[in-house]
Amino acid sequence: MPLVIETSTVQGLTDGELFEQLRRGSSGAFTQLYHRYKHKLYAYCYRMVGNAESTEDVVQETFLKIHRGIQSVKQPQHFRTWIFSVARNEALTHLRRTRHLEDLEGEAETVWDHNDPLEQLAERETTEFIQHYLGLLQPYYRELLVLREYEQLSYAEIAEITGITENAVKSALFKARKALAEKLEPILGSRKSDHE
Amino acid sequence: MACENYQEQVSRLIDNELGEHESPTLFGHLGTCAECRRFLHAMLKLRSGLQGQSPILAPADLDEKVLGAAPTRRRFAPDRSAVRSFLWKRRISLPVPVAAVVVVLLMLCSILISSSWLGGAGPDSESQTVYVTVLPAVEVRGQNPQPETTIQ
Repeated sequence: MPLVIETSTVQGLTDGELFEQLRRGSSGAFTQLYHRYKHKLYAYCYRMVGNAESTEDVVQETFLKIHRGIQSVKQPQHFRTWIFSVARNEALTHLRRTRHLEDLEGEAETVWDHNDPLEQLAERETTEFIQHYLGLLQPYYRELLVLREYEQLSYAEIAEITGITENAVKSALFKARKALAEKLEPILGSRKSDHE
Repeated sequence: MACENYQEQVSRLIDNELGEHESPTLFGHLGTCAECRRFLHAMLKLRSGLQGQSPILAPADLDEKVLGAAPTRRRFAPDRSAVRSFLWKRRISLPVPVAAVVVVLLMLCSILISSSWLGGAGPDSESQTVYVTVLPAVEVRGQNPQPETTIQ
Protein backbone atom coordinates (compact mmCIF):
# COMPACT_ATOMS: atom_id res chain seq x y z
CA MET A 1 0.00 0.00 0.00
CA PRO A 2 1.45 3.38 -0.98
CA LEU A 3 2.52 5.71 1.78
CA VAL A 4 0.40 8.87 1.89
CA ILE A 5 1.86 11.70 3.92
CA GLU A 6 -0.47 14.33 5.34
CA THR A 7 -0.13 18.11 5.68
CA SER A 8 2.17 18.39 8.66
CA THR A 9 4.86 16.25 7.06
CA VAL A 10 4.79 17.48 3.47
CA GLN A 11 6.18 20.96 4.09
CA GLY A 12 9.82 20.05 3.56
CA LEU A 13 9.28 18.01 0.43
CA THR A 14 10.83 18.87 -2.90
CA ASP A 15 8.54 19.47 -5.86
CA GLY A 16 9.27 15.96 -7.08
CA GLU A 17 8.36 14.39 -3.73
CA LEU A 18 5.28 16.56 -3.49
CA PHE A 19 4.31 15.41 -6.95
CA GLU A 20 4.57 11.76 -5.88
CA GLN A 21 2.39 12.43 -2.83
CA LEU A 22 -0.19 14.20 -4.99
CA ARG A 23 -0.33 11.26 -7.36
CA ARG A 24 -1.00 9.01 -4.38
CA GLY A 25 -3.96 11.16 -3.41
CA SER A 26 -2.64 13.07 -0.40
CA SER A 27 -4.91 16.05 0.31
CA GLY A 28 -2.15 17.46 2.54
CA ALA A 29 0.16 17.49 -0.45
CA PHE A 30 -2.38 19.45 -2.46
CA THR A 31 -2.70 22.04 0.31
CA GLN A 32 1.07 22.31 0.41
CA LEU A 33 1.27 22.67 -3.36
CA TYR A 34 -1.33 25.42 -3.20
CA HIS A 35 0.61 27.39 -0.59
CA ARG A 36 3.87 26.86 -2.44
CA TYR A 37 2.57 28.12 -5.78
CA LYS A 38 -0.33 30.45 -5.01
CA HIS A 39 1.66 33.69 -5.12
CA LYS A 40 3.67 32.64 -8.17
CA LEU A 41 0.61 31.58 -10.13
CA TYR A 42 -1.40 34.57 -8.98
CA ALA A 43 1.36 37.00 -10.05
CA TYR A 44 1.82 35.24 -13.37
CA CYS A 45 -1.91 35.19 -14.10
CA TYR A 46 -2.33 38.78 -12.93
CA ARG A 47 0.35 39.95 -15.34
CA MET A 48 -1.35 38.03 -18.11
CA VAL A 49 -4.96 38.90 -17.33
CA GLY A 50 -4.56 42.39 -15.88
CA ASN A 51 -7.24 42.58 -13.19
CA ALA A 52 -7.61 41.09 -9.74
CA GLU A 53 -11.11 39.71 -10.00
CA SER A 54 -10.50 37.74 -13.19
CA THR A 55 -7.12 36.60 -11.89
CA GLU A 56 -8.75 35.00 -8.86
CA ASP A 57 -11.10 33.05 -11.12
CA VAL A 58 -8.26 31.99 -13.36
CA VAL A 59 -6.10 30.87 -10.43
CA GLN A 60 -8.99 29.01 -8.86
CA GLU A 61 -9.65 27.18 -12.10
CA THR A 62 -5.94 26.51 -12.48
CA PHE A 63 -5.72 24.72 -9.13
CA LEU A 64 -8.84 22.75 -9.95
CA LYS A 65 -7.30 21.60 -13.23
CA ILE A 66 -4.05 20.77 -11.47
CA HIS A 67 -5.92 18.62 -8.98
CA ARG A 68 -7.88 16.83 -11.68
CA GLY A 69 -5.03 16.40 -14.09
CA ILE A 70 -2.16 15.40 -11.85
CA GLN A 71 -2.31 11.79 -13.03
CA SER A 72 -1.60 12.92 -16.59
CA VAL A 73 1.90 14.10 -15.64
CA LYS A 74 4.24 11.18 -16.14
CA GLN A 75 7.58 12.64 -15.11
CA PRO A 76 8.23 14.67 -11.95
CA GLN A 77 10.82 16.84 -13.68
CA HIS A 78 8.04 18.29 -15.85
CA PHE A 79 5.80 19.03 -12.86
CA ARG A 80 6.73 22.72 -12.48
CA THR A 81 6.45 23.55 -16.15
CA TRP A 82 3.18 21.62 -16.32
CA ILE A 83 1.74 23.78 -13.51
CA PHE A 84 2.60 26.92 -15.45
CA SER A 85 1.18 25.39 -18.64
CA VAL A 86 -2.12 24.85 -16.87
CA ALA A 87 -2.12 28.45 -15.61
CA ARG A 88 -1.17 29.72 -19.05
CA ASN A 89 -3.99 27.82 -20.72
CA GLU A 90 -6.48 29.18 -18.21
CA ALA A 91 -5.22 32.74 -18.66
CA LEU A 92 -5.36 32.47 -22.45
CA THR A 93 -8.82 30.94 -22.31
CA HIS A 94 -9.93 33.89 -20.20
CA LEU A 95 -8.34 36.39 -22.59
CA ARG A 96 -9.94 34.68 -25.57
CA ARG A 97 -13.32 34.81 -23.91
CA THR A 98 -13.09 38.41 -22.83
CA ARG A 99 -11.05 40.05 -25.54
CA HIS A 100 -11.65 37.85 -28.56
CA LEU A 101 -7.99 37.77 -29.39
CA GLU A 102 -7.22 35.70 -32.43
CA ASP A 103 -3.47 35.67 -32.32
CA LEU A 104 -2.75 34.61 -28.76
CA GLU A 105 -0.88 31.51 -29.78
CA GLY A 106 1.26 32.98 -32.51
CA GLU A 107 3.72 35.71 -33.10
CA ALA A 108 1.77 38.87 -33.88
CA GLU A 109 2.59 41.31 -36.65
CA THR A 110 2.88 44.13 -34.16
CA VAL A 111 4.44 43.89 -30.74
CA TRP A 112 2.08 46.40 -29.15
CA ASP A 113 -1.42 45.61 -28.06
CA HIS A 114 -2.43 49.23 -27.37
CA ASN A 115 -1.28 52.68 -28.29
CA ASP A 116 -0.59 54.88 -25.37
CA PRO A 117 1.86 57.79 -25.63
CA LEU A 118 4.64 57.87 -23.11
CA GLU A 119 3.89 61.53 -22.45
CA GLN A 120 0.61 60.63 -20.76
CA LEU A 121 2.53 58.75 -18.11
CA ALA A 122 5.28 61.26 -17.51
CA GLU A 123 4.56 61.59 -13.80
CA ARG A 124 4.80 57.92 -12.99
CA GLU A 125 7.77 56.11 -11.55
CA THR A 126 10.11 54.08 -13.79
CA THR A 127 8.80 50.75 -12.59
CA GLU A 128 5.25 51.86 -13.18
CA PHE A 129 6.18 52.91 -16.69
CA ILE A 130 7.74 49.55 -17.33
CA GLN A 131 4.81 47.68 -15.83
CA HIS A 132 2.43 49.77 -17.86
CA TYR A 133 4.17 49.03 -21.13
CA LEU A 134 4.60 45.39 -20.23
CA GLY A 135 0.82 45.29 -19.96
CA LEU A 136 0.51 46.82 -23.42
CA LEU A 137 2.51 44.09 -25.11
CA GLN A 138 0.72 41.41 -27.05
CA PRO A 139 0.06 38.44 -24.75
CA TYR A 140 2.47 36.31 -26.81
CA TYR A 141 5.40 38.60 -25.93
CA ARG A 142 4.16 39.52 -22.47
CA GLU A 143 3.95 35.97 -21.24
CA LEU A 144 7.47 35.15 -22.41
CA LEU A 145 8.88 38.18 -20.60
CA VAL A 146 6.89 37.37 -17.46
CA LEU A 147 8.07 33.75 -17.43
CA ARG A 148 11.66 34.84 -17.96
CA GLU A 149 11.89 37.97 -15.82
CA TYR A 150 9.63 37.07 -12.91
CA GLU A 151 9.70 33.30 -12.83
CA GLN A 152 13.29 33.11 -14.07
CA LEU A 153 12.57 30.07 -16.15
CA SER A 154 15.09 28.88 -18.71
CA TYR A 155 14.43 29.09 -22.44
CA ALA A 156 13.89 25.32 -22.47
CA GLU A 157 11.29 25.53 -19.69
CA ILE A 158 9.51 28.45 -21.38
CA ALA A 159 9.47 26.51 -24.64
CA GLU A 160 7.96 23.53 -22.84
CA ILE A 161 5.24 25.66 -21.24
CA THR A 162 4.33 27.65 -24.32
CA GLY A 163 4.75 24.90 -26.88
CA ILE A 164 7.10 26.90 -29.10
CA THR A 165 10.75 26.24 -29.93
CA GLU A 166 13.66 27.58 -27.89
CA ASN A 167 14.72 29.59 -30.92
CA ALA A 168 11.28 31.19 -31.06
CA VAL A 169 11.54 32.01 -27.33
CA LYS A 170 14.95 33.58 -27.86
CA SER A 171 13.79 35.59 -30.83
CA ALA A 172 10.52 36.78 -29.23
CA LEU A 173 12.25 37.81 -25.99
CA PHE A 174 14.70 39.89 -27.94
CA LYS A 175 11.92 41.46 -29.98
CA ALA A 176 9.85 42.27 -26.89
CA ARG A 177 12.81 43.73 -25.01
CA LYS A 178 13.89 45.80 -27.96
CA ALA A 179 10.37 47.17 -28.37
CA LEU A 180 10.19 48.02 -24.67
CA ALA A 181 13.64 49.61 -24.74
CA GLU A 182 12.66 51.81 -27.69
CA LYS A 183 9.39 52.84 -26.08
CA LEU A 184 11.05 53.51 -22.73
CA GLU A 185 14.19 55.09 -24.13
CA PRO A 186 13.80 58.39 -22.21
CA ILE A 187 13.58 56.69 -18.84
CA LEU A 188 16.00 53.83 -19.53
CA GLY A 189 18.70 56.39 -20.23
CA SER A 190 19.78 54.79 -23.49
CA ARG A 191 20.14 58.05 -25.37
CA LYS A 192 23.31 58.51 -27.35
CA SER A 193 24.60 61.32 -25.18
CA ASP A 194 24.54 59.10 -22.09
CA HIS A 195 27.13 56.62 -23.20
CA GLU A 196 29.18 58.07 -25.95
CA MET B 1 27.69 40.42 -38.23
CA ALA B 2 25.15 43.23 -37.91
CA CYS B 3 24.40 45.07 -34.65
CA GLU B 4 20.94 43.49 -34.67
CA ASN B 5 22.57 40.06 -34.23
CA TYR B 6 24.83 41.28 -31.44
CA GLN B 7 21.84 42.83 -29.66
CA GLU B 8 20.04 39.52 -29.87
CA GLN B 9 23.10 38.02 -28.20
CA VAL B 10 22.90 40.72 -25.52
CA SER B 11 19.37 39.61 -24.81
CA ARG B 12 20.62 36.04 -24.32
CA LEU B 13 23.62 37.26 -22.33
CA ILE B 14 21.44 38.81 -19.63
CA ASP B 15 19.43 35.57 -19.53
CA ASN B 16 22.59 33.46 -19.09
CA GLU B 17 21.68 31.67 -22.29
CA LEU B 18 24.62 32.80 -24.38
CA GLY B 19 26.96 30.03 -25.55
CA GLU B 20 30.54 30.18 -24.30
CA HIS B 21 31.89 30.32 -27.83
CA GLU B 22 29.75 33.40 -28.56
CA SER B 23 30.89 35.49 -25.60
CA PRO B 24 34.35 36.58 -26.86
CA THR B 25 32.95 37.85 -30.16
CA LEU B 26 30.15 39.71 -28.40
CA PHE B 27 32.42 41.37 -25.84
CA GLY B 28 34.84 42.25 -28.61
CA HIS B 29 32.04 43.99 -30.47
CA LEU B 30 30.73 45.73 -27.34
CA GLY B 31 34.19 47.21 -26.88
CA THR B 32 33.93 48.98 -30.19
CA CYS B 33 30.19 49.66 -30.71
CA ALA B 34 28.54 52.40 -28.66
CA GLU B 35 25.10 51.55 -30.06
CA CYS B 36 25.26 47.98 -28.72
CA ARG B 37 26.67 49.19 -25.40
CA ARG B 38 23.67 51.47 -25.09
CA PHE B 39 21.45 48.53 -25.86
CA LEU B 40 23.12 46.44 -23.13
CA HIS B 41 22.71 49.30 -20.67
CA ALA B 42 19.02 49.68 -21.60
CA MET B 43 18.47 45.92 -21.17
CA LEU B 44 20.00 45.97 -17.70
CA LYS B 45 17.88 48.95 -16.68
CA LEU B 46 14.81 47.30 -18.10
CA ARG B 47 15.53 44.20 -16.08
CA SER B 48 16.05 46.10 -12.86
CA GLY B 49 12.86 48.02 -13.58
CA LEU B 50 10.90 44.81 -14.15
CA GLN B 51 12.32 43.02 -11.16
CA GLY B 52 12.29 46.05 -8.90
CA GLN B 53 8.54 46.09 -8.68
CA SER B 54 6.85 45.22 -5.46
CA PRO B 55 5.75 41.59 -5.59
CA ILE B 56 2.21 40.74 -6.57
CA LEU B 57 0.71 38.57 -3.84
CA ALA B 58 -2.38 36.44 -3.92
CA PRO B 59 -5.18 37.92 -1.79
CA ALA B 60 -5.96 36.21 1.50
CA ASP B 61 -9.46 35.25 0.46
CA LEU B 62 -8.10 33.08 -2.33
CA ASP B 63 -7.20 30.42 0.27
CA GLU B 64 -10.83 30.20 1.27
CA LYS B 65 -11.99 30.10 -2.33
CA VAL B 66 -9.61 27.36 -3.35
CA LEU B 67 -9.29 25.28 -0.21
CA GLY B 68 -11.99 26.25 2.22
CA ALA B 69 -15.26 27.10 0.50
CA ALA B 70 -17.89 24.40 0.84
CA PRO B 71 -18.33 23.61 -2.84
CA THR B 72 -14.61 23.85 -3.38
CA ARG B 73 -13.84 21.60 -0.45
CA ARG B 74 -15.93 18.97 -2.10
CA ARG B 75 -13.97 19.46 -5.26
CA PHE B 76 -10.57 19.49 -3.63
CA ALA B 77 -10.96 16.70 -1.11
CA PRO B 78 -11.87 13.79 -3.27
CA ASP B 79 -9.00 11.60 -2.17
CA ARG B 80 -11.12 9.09 -0.31
CA SER B 81 -14.31 9.51 -2.32
CA ALA B 82 -12.32 9.16 -5.51
CA VAL B 83 -10.91 5.89 -4.23
CA ARG B 84 -14.39 4.76 -3.20
CA SER B 85 -15.95 5.54 -6.55
CA PHE B 86 -13.00 3.95 -8.22
CA LEU B 87 -13.59 0.72 -6.29
CA TRP B 88 -17.30 0.70 -7.02
CA LYS B 89 -16.66 1.15 -10.70
CA ARG B 90 -13.99 -1.48 -10.74
CA ARG B 91 -14.71 -4.71 -12.61
CA ILE B 92 -14.24 -7.80 -10.46
CA SER B 93 -13.27 -10.85 -12.42
CA LEU B 94 -13.53 -14.29 -10.81
CA PRO B 95 -13.23 -17.80 -12.20
CA VAL B 96 -16.62 -19.36 -13.00
CA PRO B 97 -16.49 -21.98 -10.19
CA VAL B 98 -15.66 -19.37 -7.59
CA ALA B 99 -18.39 -17.09 -8.86
CA ALA B 100 -20.90 -19.94 -8.70
CA VAL B 101 -19.95 -20.73 -5.12
CA VAL B 102 -20.26 -17.07 -4.16
CA VAL B 103 -23.72 -16.86 -5.72
CA VAL B 104 -24.91 -20.03 -4.00
CA LEU B 105 -23.53 -18.90 -0.64
CA LEU B 106 -25.22 -15.54 -1.00
CA MET B 107 -28.54 -17.22 -1.80
CA LEU B 108 -28.26 -19.55 1.17
CA CYS B 109 -27.27 -16.72 3.48
CA SER B 110 -30.31 -14.75 2.39
CA ILE B 111 -32.54 -17.78 3.04
CA LEU B 112 -30.96 -18.24 6.46
CA ILE B 113 -31.41 -14.60 7.38
CA SER B 114 -34.98 -14.36 6.10
CA SER B 115 -36.06 -17.59 7.80
CA SER B 116 -34.56 -16.60 11.15
CA TRP B 117 -36.20 -13.19 10.80
CA LEU B 118 -39.58 -14.74 9.98
CA GLY B 119 -39.16 -17.23 12.81
CA GLY B 120 -38.66 -14.47 15.37
CA ALA B 121 -41.40 -12.23 13.99
CA GLY B 122 -44.47 -14.48 14.29
CA PRO B 123 -46.70 -14.81 17.33
CA ASP B 124 -45.67 -18.48 17.94
CA SER B 125 -42.08 -18.05 17.01
CA GLU B 126 -40.73 -20.49 19.58
CA SER B 127 -42.28 -23.51 17.88
CA GLN B 128 -41.20 -22.38 14.39
CA THR B 129 -37.52 -21.71 14.95
CA VAL B 130 -35.60 -23.18 12.07
CA TYR B 131 -31.86 -23.84 12.13
CA VAL B 132 -30.18 -24.25 8.82
CA THR B 133 -26.71 -25.60 8.46
CA VAL B 134 -24.99 -25.08 5.17
CA LEU B 135 -22.02 -27.19 4.32
CA PRO B 136 -19.79 -25.95 1.50
CA ALA B 137 -20.16 -29.16 -0.46
CA VAL B 138 -20.47 -27.35 -3.75
CA GLU B 139 -18.95 -28.73 -6.91
CA VAL B 140 -19.35 -26.62 -10.00
CA ARG B 141 -17.11 -28.42 -12.39
CA GLY B 142 -19.66 -30.16 -14.58
CA GLN B 143 -21.99 -30.95 -11.69
CA ASN B 144 -24.88 -29.16 -10.18
CA PRO B 145 -24.25 -27.56 -6.83
CA GLN B 146 -25.74 -29.71 -4.07
CA PRO B 147 -25.66 -27.86 -0.80
CA GLU B 148 -26.42 -30.18 2.05
CA THR B 149 -29.18 -28.72 4.12
CA THR B 150 -30.30 -30.11 7.43
CA ILE B 151 -33.37 -28.91 9.19
CA GLN B 152 -33.39 -29.50 12.91
